[in-house]
Amino acid sequence: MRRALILSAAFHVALGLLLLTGLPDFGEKLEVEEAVTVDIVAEPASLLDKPPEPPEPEPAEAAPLPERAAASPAPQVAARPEPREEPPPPEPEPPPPEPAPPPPEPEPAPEPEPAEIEPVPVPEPPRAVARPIAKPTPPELPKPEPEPAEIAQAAPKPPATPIRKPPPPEPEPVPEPEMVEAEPVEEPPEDEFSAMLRSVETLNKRVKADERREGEGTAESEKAVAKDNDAPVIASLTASEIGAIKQQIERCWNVPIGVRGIETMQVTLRIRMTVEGEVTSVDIEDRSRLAADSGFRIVAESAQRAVLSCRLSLPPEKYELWRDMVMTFHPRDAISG
Amino acid sequence: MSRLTRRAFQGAGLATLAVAGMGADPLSAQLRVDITSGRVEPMPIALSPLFGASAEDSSLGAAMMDVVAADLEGSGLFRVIDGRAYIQSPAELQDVPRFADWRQINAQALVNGRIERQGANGLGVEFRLWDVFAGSQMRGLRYDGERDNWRRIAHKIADIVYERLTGDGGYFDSRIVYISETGPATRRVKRLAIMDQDGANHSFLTDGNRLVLTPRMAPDGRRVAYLVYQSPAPQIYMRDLSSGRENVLGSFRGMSFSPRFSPDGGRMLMTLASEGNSDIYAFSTASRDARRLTTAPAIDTSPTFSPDGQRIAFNSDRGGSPQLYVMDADGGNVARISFGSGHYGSPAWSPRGDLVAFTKIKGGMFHIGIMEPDGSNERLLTRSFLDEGPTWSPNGRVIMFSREDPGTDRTRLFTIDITGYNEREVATPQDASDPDWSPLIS
Amino acid sequence: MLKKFAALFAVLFLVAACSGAEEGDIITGTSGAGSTGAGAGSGADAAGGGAGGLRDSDLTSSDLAAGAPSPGTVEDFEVNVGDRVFFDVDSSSLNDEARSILDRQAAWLLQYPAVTITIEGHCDESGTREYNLALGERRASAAKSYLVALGVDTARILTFSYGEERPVDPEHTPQAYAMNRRAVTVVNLVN
Repeated sequence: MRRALILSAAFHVALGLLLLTGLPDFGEKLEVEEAVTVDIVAEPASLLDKPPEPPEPEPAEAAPLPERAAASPAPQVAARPEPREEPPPPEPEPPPPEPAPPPPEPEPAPEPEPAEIEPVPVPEPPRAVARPIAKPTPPELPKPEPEPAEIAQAAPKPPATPIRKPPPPEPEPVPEPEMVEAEPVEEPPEDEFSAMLRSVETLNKRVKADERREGEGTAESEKAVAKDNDAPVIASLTASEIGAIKQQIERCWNVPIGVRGIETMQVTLRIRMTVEGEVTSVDIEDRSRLAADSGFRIVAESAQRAVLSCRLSLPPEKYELWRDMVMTFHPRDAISG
Repeated sequence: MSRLTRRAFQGAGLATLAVAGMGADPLSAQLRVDITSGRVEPMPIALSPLFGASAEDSSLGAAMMDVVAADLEGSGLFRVIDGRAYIQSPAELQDVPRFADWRQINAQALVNGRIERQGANGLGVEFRLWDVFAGSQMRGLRYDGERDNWRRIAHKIADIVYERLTGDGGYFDSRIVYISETGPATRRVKRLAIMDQDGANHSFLTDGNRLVLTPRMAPDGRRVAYLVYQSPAPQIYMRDLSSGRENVLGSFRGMSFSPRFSPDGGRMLMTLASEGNSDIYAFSTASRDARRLTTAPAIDTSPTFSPDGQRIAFNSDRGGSPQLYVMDADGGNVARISFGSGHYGSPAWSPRGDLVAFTKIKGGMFHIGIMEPDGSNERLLTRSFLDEGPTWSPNGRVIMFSREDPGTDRTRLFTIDITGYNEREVATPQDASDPDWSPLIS
Repeated sequence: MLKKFAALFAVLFLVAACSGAEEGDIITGTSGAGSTGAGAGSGADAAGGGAGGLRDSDLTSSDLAAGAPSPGTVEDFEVNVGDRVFFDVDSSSLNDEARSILDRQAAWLLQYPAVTITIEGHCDESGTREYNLALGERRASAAKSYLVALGVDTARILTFSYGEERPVDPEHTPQAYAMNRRAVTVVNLVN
């Protein structure tokens, strides 16, 4: 009860704030916002990764606004979905079954109505039957049914998502000339999923095949490895150096196979790094598509995740060549080998 | 290598990497890499038990996350990382996660949250889905409902997570009606039964005194139509799930069977058989009119509406053997769509409209397969002694069907992804057949 | 196995005492001769209701009788006439053997005009459930049409399809399937 009061009070305050600030409605807004936050921009010293810090205004606290807001209107909101639960518009109760019709064209006898009308919903025998979550029973419980309240970003989420920044405490980066090894990402095929075995097997084959193919293309790539303009000293990355980058990223890329139409997508990222090999920003090209196409967004996020989760091992003396690179992910090739 | 050729190269999906070298190009200094391979395996995800203030709430929170885990893993698209590897406890997780801890175990996504009791039977649930490597919140939602409905809330959480991470709608908050079977084959006792998609909340709706077959759930999830054996002819019955009340749809001259709801629930397709001829009729639940849609002097049955209600796929032997056909909703423009060798039956149009699932019998074996509505791109997903009766998950990416094992004579339900992977048995108390998957509960 | 179920099936129609020997006849459909000339039709109404068109788990035979079936009884029909015909795979065509049995059924029915029948169509399991419901109906109708062509009043005949729901042989062999693809004529005696 007290809680309800507090909630109510909080809601009113929130409401007042909203009115003042003219903040648009939560749910939708948030959603869009999320879509946007997908891309990452360089972050100073992450606020996020500083954990021990603020006794946390408790995410709930920060969240409250939308949460409450959605909650209090509950009564009405709940009312909307309710109808489903309600007996449907009384339909003419049909007469009991009778053999009706004329011979040839089976004329359906205006038989007993398909149970449309409910005679007093009996305490349902099949108690498992369709029970909407939120029963309006409890006084002011919002329904889970309708759109659940979107919780606000819990994180003191700055406009730009901080990238995995290497705060000292973290066993993170540290320019490491060595590659792959330390990569936790590379890891644990502890996957017991027998059901996915086939899938994985095929995949592995594909990956291998791909690598093979890749090797074949080396000569070609070699030529492609251009000479760099602004780095007069260093000529270029060798084909094997580029191949190493590619392979490292590919091992870190978890292709979201569940996305429909993924085979028609292609995601390009622009990546900037420190000389230590740390990613300072990952920008997704074609950002306009992020909000409009959830499938694309998911693929883009997976690519971004691959870059962020990978510890790239790069030749520091050629930093100028890889400090700013463009990576294009081709799901179709990854999936169909 | 010129830009042009390089592009062509990429277009062919062959280019693996290249570095731009054109001086005029502002991006010329950039290293360009094409990623053409990756790991195709379930996404590793961490699901932290929902935090609860009391011991009781904590165990409920854990149970809820177990439901979420089972849902997600069951899809074959996720691998839930063992909770013993989690560094942060649910209680510690009330704040922004220490992402480093979760990156450590390579969790690509993390779900956390908490539950709180509200009154006698109220339950408030909050959860957040995090992108661990990007360090951002992907979704955050709150549900308030009845404590008794905790499983449904958990399914909804799973649906949200699934949707956000795959781009496809979820399908976990849904139900299955099916026929439960017991007894010897010659005197099989069949009962109408219903359960949640994951097998929970199971209940029998009929007692087995009458033979019942082929249930179908109405789009609103509140009614079930099914075939009941009675004298003088088997007829379709409609049952209201909340009241338990049932009525015969109509007394037709011959047997009526194969009930199917229209997408809007206002019409029903069915087959009426008389004098050796079976035809498909559209029955209006409002006007109670039955309109004949097929006229061939052959077997026309197992109709299924396209999700837009404009077309109907069905099974017919008008060409000499059981094959699949499509026609307009008014019976016009009939075209055969199955042309492979073997017999076809029980078509089921995907809720997305892009595929038609079917049963195929060839060489003494049964298959569940899919094809596009024009008959192209046929693919068989299963093969066994007897697989039949495909039904679609609400999002159109998983198919459930029944399988009979000739060795044990047991009949069970299975699911399989439309990719042909992730075949799984669906647990039921007894033998099971004729599954029908409801739309998402709303 | 097969024998066991054949026996079970027989019980549905026969009196309990009628075990053994006759079963084979019923199954093969080659009942002995002497069917038509059965003579006295007076016994037609002797038997009670018997199995109707609908059977379910609680099938109980009605009367008990001993010895050879009396002419005009259900037992007489099943034993001496032959109550079922068989079909080829995915077919509802009547072959020679089926026609000869139906010939005898027609003669018997014409002899006992008070009798009504229900013809039940059945299928093996090698088709989809709904297709088999339709196919079973077509088989029953094929048998009915034949009887009607021989002069049996159409009003005396009901058809009913069990599809693949009531196999007589539960095995998954071609032989079992052959036994299951059938149309069974069930006699409803009228008092």
